[in-house]
Amino acid sequence: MMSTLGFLLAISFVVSLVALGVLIWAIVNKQISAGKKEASLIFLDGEAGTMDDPSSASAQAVQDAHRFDVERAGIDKPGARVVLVLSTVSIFFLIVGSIFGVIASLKLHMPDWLAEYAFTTFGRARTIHLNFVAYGWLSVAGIGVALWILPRIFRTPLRRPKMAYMGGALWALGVLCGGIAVGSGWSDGLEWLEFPWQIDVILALGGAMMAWSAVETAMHRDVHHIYVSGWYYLAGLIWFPILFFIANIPGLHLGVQQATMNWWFAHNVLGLWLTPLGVGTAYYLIPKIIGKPIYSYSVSLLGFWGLALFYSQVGIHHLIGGPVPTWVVTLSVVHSVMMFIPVIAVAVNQHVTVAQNMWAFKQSMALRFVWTGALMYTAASFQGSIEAVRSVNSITHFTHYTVGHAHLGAYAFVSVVLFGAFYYMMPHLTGKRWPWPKLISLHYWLTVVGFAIYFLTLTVGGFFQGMELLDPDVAFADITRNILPYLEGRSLGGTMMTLGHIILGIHFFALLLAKRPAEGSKV
Amino acid sequence: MNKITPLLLGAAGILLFATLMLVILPGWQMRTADAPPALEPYTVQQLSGREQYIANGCVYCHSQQPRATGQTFADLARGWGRASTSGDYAYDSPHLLGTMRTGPDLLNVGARLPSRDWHLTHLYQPRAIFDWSIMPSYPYMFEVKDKAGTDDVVVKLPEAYAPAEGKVVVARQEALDLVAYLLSLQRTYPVSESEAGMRDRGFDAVIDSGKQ
Amino acid sequence: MFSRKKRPAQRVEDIDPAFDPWEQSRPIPLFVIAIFIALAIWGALNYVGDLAPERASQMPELPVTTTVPDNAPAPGADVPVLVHQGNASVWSCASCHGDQGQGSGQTPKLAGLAQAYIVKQLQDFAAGTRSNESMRYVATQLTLAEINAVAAYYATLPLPATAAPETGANMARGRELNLHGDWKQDIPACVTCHGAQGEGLGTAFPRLAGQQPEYLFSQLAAWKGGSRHNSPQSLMDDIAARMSSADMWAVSQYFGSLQPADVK
Repeated sequence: MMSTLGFLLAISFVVSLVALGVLIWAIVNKQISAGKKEASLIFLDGEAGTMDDPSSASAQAVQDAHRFDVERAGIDKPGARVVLVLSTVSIFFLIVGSIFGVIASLKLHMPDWLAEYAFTTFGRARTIHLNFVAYGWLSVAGIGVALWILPRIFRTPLRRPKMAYMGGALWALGVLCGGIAVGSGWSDGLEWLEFPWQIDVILALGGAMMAWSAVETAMHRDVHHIYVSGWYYLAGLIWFPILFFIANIPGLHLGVQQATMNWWFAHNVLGLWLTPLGVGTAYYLIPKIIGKPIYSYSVSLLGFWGLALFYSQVGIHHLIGGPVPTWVVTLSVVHSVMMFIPVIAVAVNQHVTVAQNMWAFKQSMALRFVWTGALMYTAASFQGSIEAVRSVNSITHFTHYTVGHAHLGAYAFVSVVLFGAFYYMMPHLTGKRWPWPKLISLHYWLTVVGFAIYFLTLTVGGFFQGMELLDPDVAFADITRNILPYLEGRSLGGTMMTLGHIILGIHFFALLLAKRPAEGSKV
Repeated sequence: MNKITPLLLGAAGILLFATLMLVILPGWQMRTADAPPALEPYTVQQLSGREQYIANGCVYCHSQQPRATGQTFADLARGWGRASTSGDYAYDSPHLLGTMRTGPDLLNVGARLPSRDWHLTHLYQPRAIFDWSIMPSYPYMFEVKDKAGTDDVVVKLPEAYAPAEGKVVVARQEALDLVAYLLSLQRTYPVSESEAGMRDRGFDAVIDSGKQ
Repeated sequence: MFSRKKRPAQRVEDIDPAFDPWEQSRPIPLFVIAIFIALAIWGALNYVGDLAPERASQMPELPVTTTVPDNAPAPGADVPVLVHQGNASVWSCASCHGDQGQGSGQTPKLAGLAQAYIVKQLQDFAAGTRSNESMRYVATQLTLAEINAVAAYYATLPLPATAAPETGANMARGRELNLHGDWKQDIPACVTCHGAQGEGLGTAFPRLAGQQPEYLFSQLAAWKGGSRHNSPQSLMDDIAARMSSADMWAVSQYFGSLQPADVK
């Protein structure tokens, strides 16, 4: 049995390498067309070479933005309401979820605060925070942005917008009910899967409706080639339902087998759902804002299939040193390190494109958010690959270091990219400019400084916590006393980040409520 | 890439392959092993207590998977017990392995702290025992009464934390169930060699069967 | 599918020579500097707080006494109420230490330990020279009479059976350390002080034979780490400091498996 499993372990690794080898051969021999022509699909006639950022208040941007875009207006229109509603709902979950995050953080160094209110106890507040920001903010905002970008890259309006609208409403309802359930103590008990499976049915239904809308749009596309963002979005919309369905089947999983399923699910939600939303969005927005195609389009194929092949099997690095067979842990560790390949591929594309056009980074607030997020994706992935190695993991396992890493990925990468997408997208959707551009800058700095404090306190504190946990001579009391100042610092960082979200929310609603400029005037 | 169907089929296929490697195969390996004979299934009260553990999110601070001495002696020195194997969780649904040690590992807390009254004091107010503790207190699992009833379990508290005017703190059923579950957390029986072989041996200096 | 009109690519200078009016050229916004200063002040306050003398604990201090009562209660005398029921604030001894004083896991076996030794340990828990929060909670709420009574009770209890050693226990190393020590690392033989059969000696050196292995290991780690420092002449502090974790565990398991009447 052991030799069979060891054999299968080796097979998995070899399969991934061979698949990538085939891909590289196909690219080199021009079997797959992925060059500048395909990369320029995001531009309409004459758009290439012009910076496009309606969040900027520069004179040139104002001049460019008022170009009456017949084709895009027609494409945007049927789906516009869906995207607007999804975006609005996501901001609500972002703010409420962030507030629960701050409550959870404060509870760790003020444990008797609000102790009589059961729904605020750390075990529930933390869970509401995670589920609201993952399923209520990131997923909803990500789907909204995807449903806006997909019609644009396919040059065809969103299909079945009413179905998508209904799906979004069901999803939001499901998340809200799930949060209330957890707050009152009804939880399925698995990390990332706490919503009771009865409520998950609503989520599954809503998600399926939104996914179908996207797939049907893709099937009716007006371009031959699918731009790279489309691969990520469409694949994510297939991956997430498979994951969600298998993970939530009641009564199927048990014991440690359920633990391996748990971490197969949770890490693939990060890598095969949230990451595609973030990377796909960045792949569209970076070249679109700058006005030049992505640096090396064929490399993006490597990035996509590498992500699929390697990321899907990294989940068990959450159980290193645990009661699971050695072979499955080693499998995940190896695949985690192999993730360097797709991450470097994406980094080459996105960072070189911006680095060659730093003027755009300085001028465009939307690009500033998006590229900061893309940089954080590279950082988070590199950190994750290193963290999965057994010797490092021995120190970081069970500590706050992992919490810092998780937020580097889910927040500093995906959330920040989505912030940038909002700042870019909303003027296009509503036809109005952002009322107070200084607030965008304030939001950016609150995010950057707040998150830097958050990440540094947890990383440093968590590292020391891990070293002490490994030392038999250190009393647990001392470990707890030593971590306290870092937890207080994290509350400070988290509060700043939440303040940024509230500012985004205020600005967002101000935009929605602002009067549309009169006909004929420059938008 | 230009075609939807191969893209989606390829993506789905890769994920299903990963599911095979990460979910199906390990599951087959672990669940076809028998549950350890020394491990009793949970009683009704213990299961009810387990629901309380889940409802209050204890798993987000407490793990239930002590590490092997090949990796570190620290878990053993803290009295967290021998390295766990998959059989120890044979009756666990959902699993509560946990990923954080803001608080200590609890897989053997019933062996380490077998006193019901200690747990009731600790749940009501952890800082009554550990002044450095950041664990939440759970006053809503208890009731302050003027006088204890005949069947009531009174929580033992020092003067500093006892309610005023001679009132007593009585444990609600949730607290008693939760403590019953905590006391059932004992995996001190020895494990067979094949069981020990099924945990992660990647840290062992010498990987030979039976030795930890 | 669509024809791209050839258009000369715009040069960088054509895009926007002037920065946005609202994006000032100041490289670091003022409020970032303000936050930095606020953080620096907070950090400084943290250090000052750490260097300030520790606040006295809330627990009442038990007066430390050196007198040892010379009369143990006769066998069959009344069991102190504290042992099986505790009182309004203190848990019963048996609820952790077992109905026969046999202990469990990290909780030590009390049965058969010398009365004066138990009294000293309870006083040390209260004083803080031996660190265990649960025992400090208990010891600071007992009177001296109560301490003497429970200690006398446990001293008279018969020794319970010991558990078999785990598979994989390094019994050879444990026996070696017990009988001969390891003078390459300046570790003396345990028998020197704790008796030829690990039965203990007088009131300063407790019985080790049959004691809970996890308890012994945790105490060796506590001496090494400094949370226990009540050993006469710091003997155990120094010995434990020189032991590796593997040796600590080996010797703990060895003693744990020793039957009371074992002969080497």
